[in-house]
Amino acid sequence: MAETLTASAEGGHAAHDDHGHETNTGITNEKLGMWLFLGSECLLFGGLISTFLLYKKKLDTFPGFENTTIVRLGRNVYDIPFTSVSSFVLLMSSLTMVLAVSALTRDDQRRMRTWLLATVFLGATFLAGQVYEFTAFVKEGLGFTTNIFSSAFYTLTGFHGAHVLIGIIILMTMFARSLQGKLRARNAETLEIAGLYWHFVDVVWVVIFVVVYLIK
Amino acid sequence: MSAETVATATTGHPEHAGHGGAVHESHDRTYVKIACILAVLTFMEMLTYFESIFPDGVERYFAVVLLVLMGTKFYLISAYFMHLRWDKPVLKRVFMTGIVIAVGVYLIMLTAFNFWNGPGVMPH
Repeated sequence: MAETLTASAEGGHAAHDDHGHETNTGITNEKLGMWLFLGSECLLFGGLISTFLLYKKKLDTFPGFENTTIVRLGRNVYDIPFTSVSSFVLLMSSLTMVLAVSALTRDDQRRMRTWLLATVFLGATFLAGQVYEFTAFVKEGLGFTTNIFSSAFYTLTGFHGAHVLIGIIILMTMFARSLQGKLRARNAETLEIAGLYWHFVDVVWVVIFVVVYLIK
Repeated sequence: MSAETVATATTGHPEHAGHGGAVHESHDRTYVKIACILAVLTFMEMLTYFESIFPDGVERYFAVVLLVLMGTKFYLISAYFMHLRWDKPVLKRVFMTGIVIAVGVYLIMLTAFNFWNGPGVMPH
């Protein structure tokens, strides 16, 4: 107890039951590791976004779009209102995620599970929207190998979608652990770390939505 | 272990000490407010798609407006939802290092490929 109180006063997580020994930063290795991972993910998505920006100018190689300038891209290819709703759904999933973490710190298991399931549902809705969007594009003739623009587009948004899917799997695992009684207030940091990943996926979509879909 | 101790130990935010559940209730309200702001900002972003509702000539500023809105949303999510506002500063530095390196490297790459001035030397 004394160790817990000391660590708490310092603002750290050092004495968590499930997170082992103290660190001289006052941050658990798991949490620091997740932040380092997210920092490196910035490079991955930075590379994919800048590659897309370079190849975006190759849109005119898409059959039917020979005379299309990038200015008209939004009206010809994307369904912006639909994507805006998808963005809203993902943003709201970040809210439910942070409310789940908050509920767990109060050891309110019922609310935590409700918010966790809501997050999974919203994430799955976003993914379903992405599948619908991809299907609509393919029906219009814009496949992965149609041209270099489409390859860059599908690679970028597909990588993001894969991250959302991994996030959903992680959250489902958390839900299963809570049903087994393994997710309690004393190890709320486990859910907080999963939440960090989820929020990062949301933050990346904030950038993709503007850079890929809205800026002409 | 009291509820206050649990709350403090699990969040690690110094200002939580001695407040317990009350702090989390107030944080929950903050989270909802931030979500509302994010929703409004997303709606504003979507409005730029409907150019016809704006006076002529305004659309030339859309790119700047969109980047500002994007930056604001990015800040709100990372500061409040990801707790960087309350967490140890070293975590902010770790994340910012990744962002700065990524932005720097890829701005150089885009410049090298003459991205800012027409097609340039784009690979086929």
